[in-house]
Amino acid sequence: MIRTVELTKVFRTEEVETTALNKVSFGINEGEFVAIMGPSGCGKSTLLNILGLLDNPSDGQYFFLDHEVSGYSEKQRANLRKRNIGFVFQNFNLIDELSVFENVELPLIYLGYSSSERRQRVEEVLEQMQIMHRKNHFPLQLSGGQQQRVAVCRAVVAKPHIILADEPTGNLDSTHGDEVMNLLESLNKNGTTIIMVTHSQRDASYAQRIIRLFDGQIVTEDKSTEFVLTAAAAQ
Amino acid sequence: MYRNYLISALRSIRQSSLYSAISIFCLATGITGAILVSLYVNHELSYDTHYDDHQRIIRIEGVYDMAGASYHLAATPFPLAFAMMEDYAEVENFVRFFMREEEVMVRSGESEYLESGFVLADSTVFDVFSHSFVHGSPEGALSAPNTIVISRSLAEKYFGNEPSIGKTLRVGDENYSVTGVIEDLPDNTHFRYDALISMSSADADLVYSNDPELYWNININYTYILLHQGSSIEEFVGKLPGFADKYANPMGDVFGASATFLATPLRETHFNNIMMAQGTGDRSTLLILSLVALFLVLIAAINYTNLATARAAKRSREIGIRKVTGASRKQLLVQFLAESMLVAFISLVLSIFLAEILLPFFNTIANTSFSLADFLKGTLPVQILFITVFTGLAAGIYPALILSNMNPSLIVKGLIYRESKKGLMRKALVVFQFAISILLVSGTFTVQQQMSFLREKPLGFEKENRVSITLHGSGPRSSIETLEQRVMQNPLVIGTTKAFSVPGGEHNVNAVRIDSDGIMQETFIAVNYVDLNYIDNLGIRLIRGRYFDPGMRSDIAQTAVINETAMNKFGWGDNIAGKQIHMQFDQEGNPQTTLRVIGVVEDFHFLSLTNPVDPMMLILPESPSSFRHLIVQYEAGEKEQVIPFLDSETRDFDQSRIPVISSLEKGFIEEFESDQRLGKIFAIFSLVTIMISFAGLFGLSSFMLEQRKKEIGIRKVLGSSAGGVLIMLYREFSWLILIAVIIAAPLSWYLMSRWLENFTFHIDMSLVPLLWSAVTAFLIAMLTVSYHSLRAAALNPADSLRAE
Repeated sequence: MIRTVELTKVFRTEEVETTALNKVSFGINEGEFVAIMGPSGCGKSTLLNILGLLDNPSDGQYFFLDHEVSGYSEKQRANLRKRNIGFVFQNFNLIDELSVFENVELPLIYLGYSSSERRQRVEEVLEQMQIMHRKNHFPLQLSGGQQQRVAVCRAVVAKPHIILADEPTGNLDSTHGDEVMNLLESLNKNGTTIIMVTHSQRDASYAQRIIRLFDGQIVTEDKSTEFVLTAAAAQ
Repeated sequence: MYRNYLISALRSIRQSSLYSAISIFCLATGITGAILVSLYVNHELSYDTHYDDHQRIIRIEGVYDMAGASYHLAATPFPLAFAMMEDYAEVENFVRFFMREEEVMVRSGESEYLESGFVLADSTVFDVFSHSFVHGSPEGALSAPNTIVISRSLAEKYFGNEPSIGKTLRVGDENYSVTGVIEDLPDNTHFRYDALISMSSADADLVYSNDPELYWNININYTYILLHQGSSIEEFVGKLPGFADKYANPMGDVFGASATFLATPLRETHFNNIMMAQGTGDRSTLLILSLVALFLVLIAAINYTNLATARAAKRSREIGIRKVTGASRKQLLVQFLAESMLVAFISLVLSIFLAEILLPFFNTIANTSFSLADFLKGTLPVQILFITVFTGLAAGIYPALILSNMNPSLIVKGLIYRESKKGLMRKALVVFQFAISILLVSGTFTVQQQMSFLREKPLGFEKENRVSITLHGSGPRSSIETLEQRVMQNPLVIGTTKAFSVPGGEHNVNAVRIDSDGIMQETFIAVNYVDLNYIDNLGIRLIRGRYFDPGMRSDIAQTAVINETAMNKFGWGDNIAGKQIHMQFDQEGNPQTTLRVIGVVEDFHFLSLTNPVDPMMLILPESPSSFRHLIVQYEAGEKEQVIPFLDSETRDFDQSRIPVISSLEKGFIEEFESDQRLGKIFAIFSLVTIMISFAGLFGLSSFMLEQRKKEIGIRKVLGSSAGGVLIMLYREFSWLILIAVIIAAPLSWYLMSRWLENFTFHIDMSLVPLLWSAVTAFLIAMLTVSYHSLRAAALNPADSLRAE
């Protein structure tokens, strides 16, 4: 489903050149749940941006659903992105001026769904995520966990192939964090591919595979079960 | 999708309510200004278009070249219309208008009224100019002598609800029978009248004679020609030069004058500001107003642009989310434009209320009588819509481009949008706003300075505490001395003098022949018939020779006292001994009258300040009937007592008329009324512009300082004092104002010197208005910025750094 070949990203300012990703190659299959881990500044977010078609690599190839997309224009990327990728962010990134319903509805609007279809789909998802009773509230009226649940609703409402989650529990306490992780897990079980950037070992344990980055390069790719065992031993 | 745009737009407006309020209020003010100016411009451009045949009607005008000067008159000789009808196949019909007196006394039953706008017209008037009749019909309405057609308002005023047809009105000394009532003429009519009197009521020798000796030289009636359908005005005008040679020039040759006749299409007569023209407007005023309105809208739009881009940082998250969830750049562009459009339309609603509130003030200043209903007339609604859409686009396009172009990957980590190039575009816009404000403020200063210069300019005579009583008709004029004696009995009256013309009023200009360095020359000189007290009473200084001597009978009608300009222009140096002025020529060109020059007075402004001081002479007439004015000087501060006294004495003296008593300052003030109006409009618009600019600056500075909280915090941590931070912030805004001054200065200099050239007498251009406006802008800007700067500078750095 996703394959990168020597993916490189270099940030240039007038005097400094920083290599955020250095010839990163890996693949992710349909239906996988992959966690990307690594210390701050290792290139996790850069990688997620490129995987999420928010940014282009400086060099290397990126195959997304068998398309080589590294040279795509913003418009082409936007088009591919809105049909196939859902995003979940650490800080939820809900639009404060829109209600829960309107936030979740957003991707469907940009996909050109009719208003009745949108209503049906949004309510379905809200129901499924048990946040229907809050549909007319505004983000600032909700708890963090509820906000993230809304964000997940928004990510899945258009039935994307992939969900990219960037520290989805970073701003939540452990109870709410677990709630969100369980949501993601169940989505994955229903066939959605999930790629998640995280600092948390606990969250990573939900993944089937972990890609560890250091200074822009992949250092290990382990099966999460093995890793969890090791991690558990270490704790 | 649009519902979603609307919702987020509305909520975004509500959320940042202070900045939205600033934007909306400024845009509403700008749109209000534009609406009012459009209303005025439309009105001015619509003059005379209400006449059915306005495209075929032309006004005939004469240009007379005499002694190196050219006089362009809206009035024509009486026989001209008949000659044109005969000579040109293009002419379908004509009408002449003739005003015997500016003001007439009208009696209806027991009531009497002083009226203006009573005009004599040929019976063809209704064939040329379409009028709708309330009572009666146009056919034959003005055929018979002593018939009159009056406006609906006059009919209601004179007769109330009674039928007017057949009623008698006494106008001056004659009775007229009402044969028709027409609708009032709309404001946008250049030649306005309230009553039309049949031309056949006038002296037939004057109005129907074709005697070239007399009547091709008198230009006191207005001629309008209706051309046949399909005739070209240009072709017709092309044929006119030969016409003047055939009729007018044989007589003119005697005086060394040559005439040319021109024609102005009816629609343009309003803007043809020539001598004796009625109801004139000024195209350049329209242009200036339109420009000022455009500036106003742009400045308001810039506020929106600046505040919206400044808010980009706050909105970057929303934009990022929208992009991540699938919005294309185009969709975002549309969203932000829809938002600015929404703001523009909210402003429009507010501006309609504002316009309604301001309409009475506007009417007073602009001398108009618009009502709210006028907003819906003609194409104005479309124009208002256009103004609003233009405003919305002008305000929204830049922020929409900036905002929709933000990189979505930034927000994934919660990074916010940072401006590139230190907000250069925004600073440029602020500079533009200030430059316009400074331009308008310095313009206002210049206009005010010029107006007070005109008001305070020494005129060469004393105008204070003097009024003139105007007498009509030969009877009252020949017994003017009786009135003079009666008036003198009042102890508050210090002195009197009698004259044909008063300073600031109209003067006759005569063709004369003079001996200049041994060569006889034809030239022109203004003539005034005055009594023995004239220069004493008005404080005019005698600089050569002597004034008229009551003891010398030979001074009467045989001598002249000239002004300095005449002496210099005639090339007489300062020696007037033995100089003579010949005038009143017969057909062979021999002078009938020769005047000895006995004295010279210092130049004084005998004409209004729109004219230079021309050669002028004073003559002591044989008979007091040559005087039209009794000038009365009274004790300072006693005007309130003296005027009623003069009024009752004059009323008693000439019972057929309502007295006309006017201040000697009148002619000097009225002339500049339109300029003073322009000055007021300028002042108001510049005040509004400044207000909008500074409201914008207020909002903007708050954002700029918000963004720099961290920098300010770090500076303070590193040891800068609050004062130091303040100075740094002031310095940055001062630069913007300085650049604005540099841009505005040459522009203001150029425009203002062009404007001043319109005046015969004007102030010298100086840097003072510019300096004043720069200082004003600077002070207000500093004050505006201070509010936020002081707060920012006083912030605890620990808080500001944590906020970041």
